[in-house]
Amino acid sequence: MDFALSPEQAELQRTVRAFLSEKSDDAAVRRLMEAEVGYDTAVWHQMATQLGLHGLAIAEEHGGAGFGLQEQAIVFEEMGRALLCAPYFATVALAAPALALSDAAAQYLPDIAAGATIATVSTDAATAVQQRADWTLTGELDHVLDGHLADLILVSAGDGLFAVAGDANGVKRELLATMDQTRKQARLTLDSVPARRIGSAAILGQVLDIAVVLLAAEQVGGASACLEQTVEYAKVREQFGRPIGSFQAIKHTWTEMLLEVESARAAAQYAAWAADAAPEELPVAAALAKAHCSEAYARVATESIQLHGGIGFTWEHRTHLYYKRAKSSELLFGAPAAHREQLVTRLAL
Amino acid sequence: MDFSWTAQQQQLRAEAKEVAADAVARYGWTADSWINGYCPPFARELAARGWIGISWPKEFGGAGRPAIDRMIIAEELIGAGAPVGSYWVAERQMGPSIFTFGTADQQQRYLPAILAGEATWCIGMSEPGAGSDLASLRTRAVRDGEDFVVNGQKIWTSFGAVSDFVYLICRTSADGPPHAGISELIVSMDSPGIEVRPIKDMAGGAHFCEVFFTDVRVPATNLVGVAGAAFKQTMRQLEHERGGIDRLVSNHALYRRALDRADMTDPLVRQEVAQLETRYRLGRLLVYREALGQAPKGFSAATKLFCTEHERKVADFTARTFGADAMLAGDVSRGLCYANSYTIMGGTSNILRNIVAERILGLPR
Ligand SMILES: Cc1cc2nc3c(=O)[nH]c(=O)nc-3n(C[C@H](O)[C@H](O)[C@H](O)COP(=O)(O)OP(=O)(O)OC[C@H]3O[C@@H](n4cnc5c(N)ncnc54)[C@H](O)[C@@H]3O)c2cc1C
Repeated sequence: MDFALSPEQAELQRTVRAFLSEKSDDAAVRRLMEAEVGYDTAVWHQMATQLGLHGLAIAEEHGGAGFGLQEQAIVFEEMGRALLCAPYFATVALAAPALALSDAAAQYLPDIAAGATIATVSTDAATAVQQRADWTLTGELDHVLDGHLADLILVSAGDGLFAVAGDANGVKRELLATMDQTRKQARLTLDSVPARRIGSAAILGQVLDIAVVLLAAEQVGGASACLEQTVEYAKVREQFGRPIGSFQAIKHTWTEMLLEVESARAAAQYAAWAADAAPEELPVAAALAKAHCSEAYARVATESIQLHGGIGFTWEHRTHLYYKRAKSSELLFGAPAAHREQLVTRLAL
Repeated sequence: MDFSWTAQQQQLRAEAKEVAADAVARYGWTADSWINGYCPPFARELAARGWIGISWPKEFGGAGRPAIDRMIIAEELIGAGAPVGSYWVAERQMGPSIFTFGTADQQQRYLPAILAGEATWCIGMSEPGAGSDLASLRTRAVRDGEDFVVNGQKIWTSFGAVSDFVYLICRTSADGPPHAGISELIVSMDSPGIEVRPIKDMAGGAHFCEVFFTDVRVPATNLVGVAGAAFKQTMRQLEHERGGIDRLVSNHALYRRALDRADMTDPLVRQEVAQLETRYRLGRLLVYREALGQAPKGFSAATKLFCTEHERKVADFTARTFGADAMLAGDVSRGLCYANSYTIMGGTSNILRNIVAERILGLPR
């Protein structure tokens, strides 16, 4: 066993952190979260082409770098830390793994790796109708991440997984007002939309395990940023003539928060490793990571607001952005209780 | 011991339920209607019923009824989300301060408008550098002839932008220990030299403000109680703030909506609801005990701690019940944001724990 990052992994972490600290600073996050499009196209293309982040875990034959989920998780941790506003999670954590398992990998993945396609996956299913070789989909898809601008939408219907062009005839897209403005969601209405069958619906189950592992990594990043920023504040904010961090109640709370973050990091890293090296352990590791990391992040973000006192409740302060990301990613793809239920089922206990 | 309600109280509760439902039908509801429910017309309606100041002494224009009657009304109104914000602070806190510590002149001048639901008041305690440690406040009032001249800054002043008066806690003397030398002044918000800047909160609202005082002249007759004794007086006031049922039912209206949606066949949900119901019922008992004056001295800090921690659990339950829909902007997510503030305002949970440990348990400082 070895918990250390390899030199290449450490370099990846440094590079992404440096890049995001410049491109996704507080001002950028606030500007983008308020804009309908919600991401910076120039940054998006730099991420894809200069840093190769989109294709990191895409096979080399499809234009990617062929790394595993561990490297991908390192990137998501940094994105969670910087609260990056971009359709990156939808495209890279959801759609790319689904496409990789589909019959259409060669067609779509190169454009995803190049940053030319924004894609997403609906967790709601539609209804499919077949006429000879042609399929059409009809249905209401709720809470589709970045569905308002995705070029490509993957939807399950019946026993199939389908690809739908975002601008196809019969697609109605409505951007939803979200609590976490840094991650956009849309409601899509499909009315006899032409679709292409690219694989079996079972792909989605596998993909969700991967997506929650990457979400867990993102949660770890958010939680550790929250922890660090809050501890810094506790060192400088004075009440009763001393730094508030010198009060035992605060020391104890933040010691617990450190444990939350480090245990969450262990959960997320283990799950990412399992995806690469021990796939038979992934189902359990993924359920565990999603449940644990969700709650850890939510706790740290909640306590962070408390420690900041009045200022922690303001729009100007960063804590609420983490809190909202934490509370909504806790509910994304099912709340912790659902994943604990999965955990027990998957352990066959 | 007797946990029963009098016929009159049962009747009052039934009536309050009706008034609340009617108010919600006409004015809409908010999940924390004592903070966000600013609605002067509704305040005037309640005043006409004699429900503002119902438990104030008769000599000051109240109905002289037991404090518990006020809690019954508040529980039903706030629990339904009826908009009580515009008169809340004044009725709960400022009125009692003025009839307890104020001069006869102040009582005649300020109490009637509060009772009529016509005056909105805000509390100027916190400052950028003085939050939990209130005694470190810097805003000062210097005597100049018949006036005090006030300079300084307050922050987090709820209703600062819509209030007629601010109940200001400020330093009138720099001698002695920090908590000596602090006094309370009634200041009209339209006095020259006051500037108010609303602060946007994390839920996107702007009910609290920064208030700046530059050479603001306040008649010396507006000093409440004894000069330099504000710290004691303020602590008395905070008892009203901390021990009330508003600290238990802020998001009760949202909880009811969650219950309508919750899957009550799920054993986990049943467990959780049972816990919430338990703490809600126990929180009420603690509040009623405060209202009866039968809680240990200083226990209001513990009551507030118990009740507001409950409200955070309610918010979490509500969010999980709404599931993915709680990720959207709306009442549920606003409730989720606001629940963070209940455990900060009026004293943070940590500060309350300290107070309870020192004052009730007698642990050394
Ligand atoms: C929604 C809202 C409305 C408000 N309305 C008003 C109002 O109308 N009028 C008004 O005057 N004020 C108001 N306040 C201010 C409120 O009373 C203060 O925010 C609160 O007292 C905390 O002070 P602070 O924000 O300066 O935090 P700080 O005092 O800086 O505290 C920061 C953190 O340190 C902790 N801490 C501090 N000292 C200790 C200690 N000794 N031991 C352990 N932990 C400690 C606190 O618990 C907190 O977690 C409001 C606040 C909010 C959020």
